[in-house]
Amino acid sequence: MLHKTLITYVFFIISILFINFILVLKVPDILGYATDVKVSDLLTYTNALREKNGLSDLTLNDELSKAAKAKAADMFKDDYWAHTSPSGKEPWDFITGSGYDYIFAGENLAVDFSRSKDVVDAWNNSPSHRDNLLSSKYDEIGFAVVDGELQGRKTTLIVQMFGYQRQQNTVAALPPAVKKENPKPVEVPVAVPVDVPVPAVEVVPVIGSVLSTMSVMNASRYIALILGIFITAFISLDWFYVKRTGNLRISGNTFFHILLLLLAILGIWYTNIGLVL
Amino acid sequence: MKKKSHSLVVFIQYSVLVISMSVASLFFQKTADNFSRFYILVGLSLLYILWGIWHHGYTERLDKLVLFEYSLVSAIVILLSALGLGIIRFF
Repeated sequence: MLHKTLITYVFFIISILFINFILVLKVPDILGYATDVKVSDLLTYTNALREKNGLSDLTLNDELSKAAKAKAADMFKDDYWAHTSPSGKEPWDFITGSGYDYIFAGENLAVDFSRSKDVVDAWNNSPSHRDNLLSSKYDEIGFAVVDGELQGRKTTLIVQMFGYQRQQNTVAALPPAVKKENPKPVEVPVAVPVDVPVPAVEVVPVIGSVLSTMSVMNASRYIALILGIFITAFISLDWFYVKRTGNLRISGNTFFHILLLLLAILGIWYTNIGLVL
Repeated sequence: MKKKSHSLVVFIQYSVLVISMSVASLFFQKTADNFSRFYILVGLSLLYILWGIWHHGYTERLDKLVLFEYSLVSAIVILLSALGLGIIRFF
């Protein structure tokens, strides 16, 4: 009797795996891939955080966004997740490559997030990323939110680049426009570069808080996994004991309870929660 | 004849559950968005309660405790999914 039941349950598991396998083969990418992370929301949440801390808003800069996109594309192309590429490319190489002549620059990275607010919250919860978010040295920002395949799985990379341009140290003093009846040729002052002492280029490293950030971000996931495995083991033991002693009791289908829990555990195991770097 | 028809219905019931679980796991693999994944598991959990009512109602073993059992298992799955997929977090 026990063997017959066991064979039935094994049949159910094999059926699920088989149907799933066939469906995966026959229905490729029906859902596509999408997250709710948007550049406009990232900018709004970043500036809201700065305002809350008494800092001025950052302006979205096209060149910094271009640099961020280039960085994300490079990470997908060379399949890495780091501030420095395997070939030794630094974030600053992408920034200067986009034509942004900076005095100060910084970079924050994130992966596997579904919501813009979660990304900014995660950066805010990491001291070094927070330093970038709340630095008064920056006045411009660029973002890239790019979908792709990294290390064998589909994901969304989020690159945030901060900057303060060298060109901003030029003064453009134009006279107010006055309408004259007999205009005489006037000497119009043009934008003059002003020599200001340029501080050394500041590289803002954000490596170093990676491990602690990862463990904090994944705390809930580990708790769920431990709890799930514990409950599943408990129900399985109870099921085994009832079967072995031949006790009769009115209950639901324990096998499918365990199967449902196992599906959830596998799903959690399979899923990555957002990380920042 | 009646017994044969009963077995067929029970077979269909189990097939519905097996196919639902397979399709849910397919959708789970085909989406990478944690919210969508959470909704898939919530949907599967709710479907599981309905299946429990259908199956136990048909086999005349539906009881308040059985209903509670299915609801509890589904609630545990939803809670684990919310925690494990980062919908709610301990920061």
